[in-house]
Amino acid sequence: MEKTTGFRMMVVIFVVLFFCASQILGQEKKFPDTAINLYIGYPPGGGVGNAAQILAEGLKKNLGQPVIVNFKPGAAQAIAGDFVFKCKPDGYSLLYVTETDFIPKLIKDASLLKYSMDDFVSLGASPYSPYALAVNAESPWKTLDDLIAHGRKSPPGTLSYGSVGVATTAHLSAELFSQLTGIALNHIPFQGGGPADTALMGGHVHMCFGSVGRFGARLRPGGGLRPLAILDKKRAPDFPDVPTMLEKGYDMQLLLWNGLHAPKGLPNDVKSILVRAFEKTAKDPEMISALSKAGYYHFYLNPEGQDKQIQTDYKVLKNILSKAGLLN
Amino acid sequence: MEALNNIFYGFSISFQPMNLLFCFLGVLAGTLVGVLPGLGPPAAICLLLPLTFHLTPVSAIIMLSGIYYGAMYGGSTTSILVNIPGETASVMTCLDGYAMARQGRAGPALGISAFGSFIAGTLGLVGLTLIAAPLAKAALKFGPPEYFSLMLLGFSILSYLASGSMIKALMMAALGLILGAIGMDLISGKTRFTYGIMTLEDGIGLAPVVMGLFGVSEVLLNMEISVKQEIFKTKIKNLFPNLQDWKDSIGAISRGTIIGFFLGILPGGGAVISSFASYAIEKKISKHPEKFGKGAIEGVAAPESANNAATSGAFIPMLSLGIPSNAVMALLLGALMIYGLQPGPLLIRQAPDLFWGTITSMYVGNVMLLVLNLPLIGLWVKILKIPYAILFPLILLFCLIGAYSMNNNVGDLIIMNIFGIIGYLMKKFKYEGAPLVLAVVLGPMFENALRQSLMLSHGSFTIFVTRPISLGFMIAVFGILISSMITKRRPGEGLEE
Repeated sequence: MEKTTGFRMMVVIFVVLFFCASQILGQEKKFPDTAINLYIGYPPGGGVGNAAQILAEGLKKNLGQPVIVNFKPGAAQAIAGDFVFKCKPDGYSLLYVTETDFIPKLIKDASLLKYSMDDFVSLGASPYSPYALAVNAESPWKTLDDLIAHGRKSPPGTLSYGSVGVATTAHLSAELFSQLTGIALNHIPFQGGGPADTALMGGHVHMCFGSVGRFGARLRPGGGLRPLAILDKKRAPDFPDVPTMLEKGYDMQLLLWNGLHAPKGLPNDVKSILVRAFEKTAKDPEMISALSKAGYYHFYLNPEGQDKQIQTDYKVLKNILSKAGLLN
Repeated sequence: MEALNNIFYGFSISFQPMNLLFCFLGVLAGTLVGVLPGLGPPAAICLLLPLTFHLTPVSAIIMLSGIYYGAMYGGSTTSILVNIPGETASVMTCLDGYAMARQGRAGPALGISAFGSFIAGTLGLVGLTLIAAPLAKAALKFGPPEYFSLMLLGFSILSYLASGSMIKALMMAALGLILGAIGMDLISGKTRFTYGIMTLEDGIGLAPVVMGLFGVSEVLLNMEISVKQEIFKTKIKNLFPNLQDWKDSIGAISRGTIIGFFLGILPGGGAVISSFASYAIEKKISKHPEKFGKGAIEGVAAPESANNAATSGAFIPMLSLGIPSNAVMALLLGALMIYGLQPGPLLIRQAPDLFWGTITSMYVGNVMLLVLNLPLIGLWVKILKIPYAILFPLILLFCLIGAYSMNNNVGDLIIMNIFGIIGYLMKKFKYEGAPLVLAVVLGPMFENALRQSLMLSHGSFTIFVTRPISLGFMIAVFGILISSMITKRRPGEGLEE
């Protein structure tokens, strides 16, 4: 009788131990254990979409789960932002935006949006593409000085520029240029990069600001456009002969840079997994080369750096917006 | 001749078995996607794009392009059979195509649509092969003033679309202009008519409106009418167009091809506008315009040819300038960039195999589509025998899936349903949808072009007549307006109910 009771006791103890062990093991459910959704605020085929698809392939390797790119275009990324804002902060819904377009949108339409930048947690930023000032390849201005001299000689508003929409960085960089050089420019907004570049290549507007990524092969010899300056601290690797605005004495540094975000309230351990995976992906040489083919150069900011840069851009862009009279 | 060398080179690439296979897959997927109302080439391309990462760029682009022009073949099927456009560019085909189907002539309608698409697509490709570069340069000369004058021309032929009461058509056009104004204004950055709804900030979206006005409304209308399937039970006489049909259509096909090709080249132009324009022009120069809307075969041949020629034209700015003229081209452009190829003037030099291989594969694809579509006519016609109780809910389901698949936005579904109800009421009270759609398409482009032009000219209206191309269009507008005053029309004719 004692033997059976003892045996039963052993069985019970084992079962209890097993149960406890499995609970503990179960709690070590690793994040992520299913596919992650990445939301993009522009339609597919655009710069952000391309960069996202390339990065998604890399993130898949580093996270061990598929990363699906979802497009929710509209309202200059505000619709995608709104969607992710309403998602659960569990790390399975992430937002990948072009910060330089998202920030002016948040500033300008703050009253209409239910969220602000503080409702998102930064997870890292990569890659970037510097802005450039381009003119038609057949125009008489071979350097930035030629263009500025012409602008100063002519009546105000003679020089026209195309943009991809009001309050986009293409527009705001031109406004800043106008403020710094004192030349009044004629702003012609277009429905997007395609129509704006067509107008520039056809000679209907005189110049255009845009990211090197967007202009692409058009900036190279034979492509139809000529870059006059790069809006970055250093010269662009693909255009070593083109000076930067800084060299010419104008403090204009505007980059098109993309950043990854998650809704506020993300648990810290999930956050560190995502941050590490994104960092590894951004610094992967294969990723860097694939992105540079699509027009994006390598750079990486960790979340603290990203937040700092967002604050800096916020101030610069808000300043330009208010001087241009665009704040509601 | 250099062009011939390039073509042979291209064929040597496109006839490789892998590329033939992918071409076939692409056009097959395109046809299916075109037939299903709502689902369009962008959705299919998005879905298949990740698969293409494992292929060479040439094969991938061949397949993706096949989806695009294949959809233009398939789009007419549901337009003719059930009055629901499979593609936005197939809206005009609904008018006469469905009328023909009701008369038991669905076969000839589908046949002439397939043949017209083939002829136009092939001729468009010939144009693409021979004159791509100079055409691209000419297209660059179109600035805001030229677009304005062209849109004005478009509006002036809008009245030809009306087959019923002119007043009602103009009312619909005015409504279309208002709807086109919804959204964020390009020039000032302020939102109009959005009432704080984010979905409306980019405008009301042509595809949900078209699917609602023509698709959902047709389903609603048919739910009301008790089974009238006896009409289709009459023996479908021939499955192919007869000699008379060919004689009537050949002019329409040629004119549609030219109109479609040139309008397709213009960035921002495209299949929709060219299908409307070719229909209107065909009706205007016809000896029996009153037959349009009641089953005139030219009314099917012209828009179908135009929308296929437009797809060939749309490739020109994309391949030679790197500028996409519509959403599908933007996707293809993105795909090319992911492969590390830069579309633009340098593409021909950088990747001649891609350029010529794709163009010649399109010839092959058009032949495949013709072979695919003709035998299917008998099959499609049998679909009419499916009980409406099953057919129409299926169509509605596809419309809903299609509308959501575009932007993953529930707002589009709501818009589609609202316009479905509006379209139902319009059909009951005999208001036409075509003028509304044309106004929604042209209105925003017209307004933007006007304001951009005036900003360029610092407020002077003379910019529209000092530039030669713009002046040409303005003269045409003038000519159209005067010609309608000269032709003997009783005052008030057409203004009756």
